[in-house]
Amino acid sequence: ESLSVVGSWSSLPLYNQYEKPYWTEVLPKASNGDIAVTMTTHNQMGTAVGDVFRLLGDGVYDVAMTVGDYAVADAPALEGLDVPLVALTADQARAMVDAARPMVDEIFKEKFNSHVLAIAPYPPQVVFCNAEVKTLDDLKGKKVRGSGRMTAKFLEALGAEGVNVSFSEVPGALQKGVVNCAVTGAGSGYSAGWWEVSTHLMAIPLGGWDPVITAVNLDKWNSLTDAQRKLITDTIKKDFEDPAWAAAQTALTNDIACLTGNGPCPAGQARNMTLVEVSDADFNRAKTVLIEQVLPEWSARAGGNWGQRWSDSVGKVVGVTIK
Amino acid sequence: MIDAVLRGIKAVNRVILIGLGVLLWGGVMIVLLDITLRLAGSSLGGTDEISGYLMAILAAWGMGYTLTALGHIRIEALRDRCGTDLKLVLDVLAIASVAVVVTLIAVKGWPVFERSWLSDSRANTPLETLLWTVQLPWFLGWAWFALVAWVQFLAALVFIVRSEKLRAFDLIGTANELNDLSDDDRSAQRGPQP
Amino acid sequence: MMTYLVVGLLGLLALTIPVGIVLFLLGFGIDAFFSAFPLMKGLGRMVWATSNSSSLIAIPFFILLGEILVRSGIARTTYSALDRWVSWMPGGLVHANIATATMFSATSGSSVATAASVSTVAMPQAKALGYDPRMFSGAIAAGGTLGIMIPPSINLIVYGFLTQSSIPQLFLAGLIPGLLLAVGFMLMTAMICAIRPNLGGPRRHFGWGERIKSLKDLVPILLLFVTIVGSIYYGIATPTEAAAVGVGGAVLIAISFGKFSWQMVTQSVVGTVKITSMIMLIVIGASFLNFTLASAGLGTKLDAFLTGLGLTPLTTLLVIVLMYVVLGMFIETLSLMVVTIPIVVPLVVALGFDVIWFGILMIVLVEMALITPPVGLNLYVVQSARGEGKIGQVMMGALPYVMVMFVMVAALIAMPEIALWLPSSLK
Ligand code: NA
Ligand code: NA
Repeated sequence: ESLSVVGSWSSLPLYNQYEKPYWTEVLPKASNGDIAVTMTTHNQMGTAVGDVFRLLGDGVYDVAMTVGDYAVADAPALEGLDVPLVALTADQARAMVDAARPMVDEIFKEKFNSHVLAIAPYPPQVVFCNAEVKTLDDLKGKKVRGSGRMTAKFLEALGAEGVNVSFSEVPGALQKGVVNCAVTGAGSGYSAGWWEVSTHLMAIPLGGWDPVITAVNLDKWNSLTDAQRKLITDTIKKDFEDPAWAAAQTALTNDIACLTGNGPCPAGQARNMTLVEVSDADFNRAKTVLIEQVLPEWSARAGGNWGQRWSDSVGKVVGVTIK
Repeated sequence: MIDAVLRGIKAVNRVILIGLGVLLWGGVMIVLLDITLRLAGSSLGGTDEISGYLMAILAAWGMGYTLTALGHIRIEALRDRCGTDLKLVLDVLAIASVAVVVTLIAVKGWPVFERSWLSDSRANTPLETLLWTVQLPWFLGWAWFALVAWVQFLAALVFIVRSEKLRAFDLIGTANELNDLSDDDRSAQRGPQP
Repeated sequence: MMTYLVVGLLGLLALTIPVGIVLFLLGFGIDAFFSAFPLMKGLGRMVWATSNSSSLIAIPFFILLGEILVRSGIARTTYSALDRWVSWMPGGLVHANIATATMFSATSGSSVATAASVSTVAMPQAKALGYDPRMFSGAIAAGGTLGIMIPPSINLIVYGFLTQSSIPQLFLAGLIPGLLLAVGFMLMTAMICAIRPNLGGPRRHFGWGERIKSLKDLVPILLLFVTIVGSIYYGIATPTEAAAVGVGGAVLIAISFGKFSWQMVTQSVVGTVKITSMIMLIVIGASFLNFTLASAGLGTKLDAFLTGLGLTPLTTLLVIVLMYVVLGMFIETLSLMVVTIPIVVPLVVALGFDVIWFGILMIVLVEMALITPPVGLNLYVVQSARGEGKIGQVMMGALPYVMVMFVMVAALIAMPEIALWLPSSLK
């Protein structure tokens, strides 16, 4: 059996440390050569991120993985997979993702003609600012570069202005005040040198965890034998999903240490950004905005009974009910 | 009949050019307005996204006109060494391949629009643009390009059958060569003026 | 697969099928013969995704800018002012061609647009003053290539976009190599014309009074450069938005010269639409071909091939340079970049080279591709502005400048600081 697999960004750690080894080495070996894999990434193919799952559904390739947020154009309900602020640790994020899994499965079956194999985390999306911020209230009136639709809506609800800047332009934009703050993974911000142009770091997942969904085309999946399906399902959990989640929390702690110097930095030289501690009261206020405004709006946008289903599953795990 | 069709294409392309001019200058002004507003501490928001749609529509609709203006690049190294008849064969082959390929693109472009239309897809941005509203004009641009290519192909065949070779060259030849022909050559050998 | 690509490309191009269509046809072939998957299903999506690009909108804006400069007469006055300053050297007016192209490059992001603008004002002079058409037109074609090296630059925007590297940094890095190339082109001209004076034309001498007086004619274009590049560095505009700022600036200049008219607004659209569509068909075709190649596993194969050679980083780099020189003869430049960047750049960075530096090196190679036959966009642009004679004359005339570009490639490899000094010292 041969599988063509499209990974997420070829330059990011998730691809190099987990996706690529699993698909090109672990799985072919575990199948004793029964399954052969050709692997590329969406950026090497030059496809738009929003097209990755559409093309998967069309059967252009067999397996694809990318951030769930990129697919929300076709399925607003999918935004519920990655709600900002409700999961503070990797364990909580995983519990959130696991609880959302049945919904994600259904969305992918209906909208993308595909079967979900795994959901792995990108690093949580934290906030870099080039101005003094002490509380979430300080974001009011600031120009913030967000990622993903729900994050943008949340920032707007907090009184910030969402600005669209591509990742590579962020340092320049921060330096010149085109944006005051920007949201990205702590590790990406460290390696892209954002610490050079920003002063304050809010280490809370304001942009959520950007979970990366791995899915297989449904027709292809149905054409595999039971043994092949079982092999993939078992090994992808054990050799891809679990290790990726296990590393997520440590990676976050290390990345924050690298940016602020509050601990040892394995990636290189530690920097000295100011770590902003968000007080409980402040945090709860923001969460109220999320619960009373952002989530109900999403529920309306998604239509159907998605809001209710979210409250019954993910909401239970993170202690939030959409009104 | 053939002349009327070619005149029709020309007339439609003129209207298209006016529309594209509005889009182009409008695009410049939107970007400038956004920059000005940003300096004043405010913002239109989403001009980035809008310019993307603009580009897609501009390029799609401009291609048909460019084809009639002999503007798509062809490598003439070998063609230069051919006689008139062989040149015409190459020109017909070229326009036929344009017609076939562009038709394929248009056919495959339809589902892109159709899917956005059926599932009410919105862009993953703060603007939440309803995607079919921009994908429909984009698709129609490619469909127009395909139509222009087929008309040129058929018209060229008609001219060749009538042995009006210069008119065929005018229609599907190359721009450089047209420059080389003096006006006398042309009026002497050309068929009736459209 | 490589044999199929090379033979198919050359064969279809020789048949005079339009370049953009050839790229699509090759993609269809890859799908049919080398891939087990129904890649055709992705055709519509790829065409939409490639053309729906806010970075590429800079192309029509820069072409529009050039159209306005030519129609407002600024191009002509700039040319005659530079003529007074540089045409005393052996080669005469050929130097003015290069200097004007350099000046225009500072306001234009496109080599094609630069070459087109300069040809329009310079070509009428060649015949009138009895210049040898080869060197005269070759210098415009070569000088025009600076459009993508001296900021602003569409190709650097595309490079930054595809490699996720900083576009303002790339712009800074291109400035010194661009100016050095301009100086190199002039030295080459002077050298050749000192030996064979009949290749150039009469040396032209002007008094200092006349020269000083002509300086005011350079003010508009310099103002425009400062506006465009300044707006990027002061964070007023993104590199793509700066193209619109340039159009706005050019319109203001035209108004202040009393040359702005409704006719100018409408006529400039026609040229812009034509060149933009021509370029976009090729860019879209290239990205579809790239999509099929990546799906058929070319990246993995190329990767394995280059790693399998077991070469040192420097030798690998030289192999890559050689590859670009050869591919550059046959492939349109923006396509060349779009197709190769996702495969080559990760490899080069893994070898320990700087991504900004490699961007500049690639631009020199791409400039070379613009003027090497048989597929050299600038050669064709100059030829079509010339409207007479054979394209072979332009090709011959551009050849000496290809040599200068080779020297530049060697210099960049020997001294990366040529590109990296400016961005690192302004950080
Ligand atoms: Na330039
Ligand atoms: Na070339």
